[in-house]
Amino acid sequence: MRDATAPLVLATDDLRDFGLNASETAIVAAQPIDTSAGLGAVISGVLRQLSDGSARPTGAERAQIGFIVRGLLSAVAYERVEADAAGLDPHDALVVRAMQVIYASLDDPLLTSRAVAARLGISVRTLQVAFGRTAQPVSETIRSLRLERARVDLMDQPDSTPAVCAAVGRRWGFHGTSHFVRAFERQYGVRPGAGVISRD
Amino acid sequence: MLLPSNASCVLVQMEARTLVESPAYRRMSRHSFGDVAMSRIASVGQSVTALLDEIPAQAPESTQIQLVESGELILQQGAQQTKVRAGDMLVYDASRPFEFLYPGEFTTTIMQVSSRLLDVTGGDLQALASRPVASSSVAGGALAALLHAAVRNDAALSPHSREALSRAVADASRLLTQDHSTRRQARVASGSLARMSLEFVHDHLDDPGLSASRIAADFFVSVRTLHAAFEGERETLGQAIRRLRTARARRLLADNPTMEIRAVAESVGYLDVSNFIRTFKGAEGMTPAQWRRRQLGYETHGPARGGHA
Repeated sequence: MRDATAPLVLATDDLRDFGLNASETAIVAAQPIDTSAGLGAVISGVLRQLSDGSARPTGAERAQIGFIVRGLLSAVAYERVEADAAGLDPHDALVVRAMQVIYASLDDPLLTSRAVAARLGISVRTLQVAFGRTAQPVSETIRSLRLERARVDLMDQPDSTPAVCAAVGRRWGFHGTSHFVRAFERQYGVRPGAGVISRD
Repeated sequence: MLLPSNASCVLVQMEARTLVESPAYRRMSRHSFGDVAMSRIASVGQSVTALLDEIPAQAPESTQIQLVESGELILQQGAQQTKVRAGDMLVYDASRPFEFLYPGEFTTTIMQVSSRLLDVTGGDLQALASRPVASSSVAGGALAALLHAAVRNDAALSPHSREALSRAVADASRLLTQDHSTRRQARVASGSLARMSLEFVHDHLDDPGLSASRIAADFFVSVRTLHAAFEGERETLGQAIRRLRTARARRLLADNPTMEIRAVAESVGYLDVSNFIRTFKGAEGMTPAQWRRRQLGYETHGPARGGHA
């Protein structure tokens, strides 16, 4: 059982498990998270609930709560960048800022690497260089985040009809169902909704 | 007491009436996180009516998720009545008329989210509102933890953190609403609809609004499908409801010799006592009072059609 107010120390591996990329992980892992107030208190509350709760989460539930924690941890990284960017690696700081733009607009079909760069007031080239040390380029990061969320949304659906698949694709910013289906199939080797959705 | 309504505050206008003379208190705090508005209320018992004339019927923010931290809440919406105990949550459609009853002192956090964000329809919401969500469930627990932390740390959060928190709350709310409906769909698919319906009836015998349409909504099937599920059974759904109500009434009558007939009727979902007596007599061949007297040995000569063992 986790003490409610003890500082939260998350190892690099834990952060990677939550899906944070290398830059986010470097900044969050650099110091313990204060859980007495602010976002730290929120994260600690959710983690405590998850470890103490009597209910056993299904795979999909675990993944959904993982997304929630990932978003909050990434916001912690952003707060640190905003508070004191001087002491941080500039590439990492830029990636963390970019990730916040991405999380906030994942459902927007107009979210592209160009839009992220424009929002941050930098060139696409600079953005790409900053993402160079993470495992994925910017556009790939956006696509895989969307697909991952869509996949988990479809996991617990006993009957994924074409309408359900279309709604889930739309929810995560895919322009049109066929685009979503193709991207999903390329990434996971199967179609969303286990083949019930027809092409176009 | 009229509570003000504005863009950043929770709720439609509400009219609240306290249920005690004195001392009465009512503490309220409001919080706004991006697309999500919250308010936390602590008060003595009260009855509350939503004044829906104030908002357009298709207002985007029309789903409310409410965590009852202490005390008890009874939501009355249409023919449906749902009791929520401390620690549990309720999801309901705030664009349809509703009333709250808090029988005693309570603390609650009410959150308003757009139905669009949750991807829920009016039908989903009606089914969701028919039973509370336990905070011990995964989704309920996660959302309760977020609400607790959000309300307590409001002052310490930067605008950016609030945005992140609103995304987290939206994700957890969606998990809760989808979880709830998916579970039920899966349950119905795996078991027989007739059997699941009878279990539902058994759990809701005291609910005057118990009906085929209510059960159909709860299991996401049409009323026709529901009735069809009883075609191969020995009795229709309506007969089953009456049989189970009468059976419970018999037990209450026998176990509680001083319980008033009116109270027995209400405990098995009859608001109208004479209707209850008529139904009981149809099944047992005598009125509830006669049945009890006979059961307790006060009456030796039952009527000709004494139908019980």
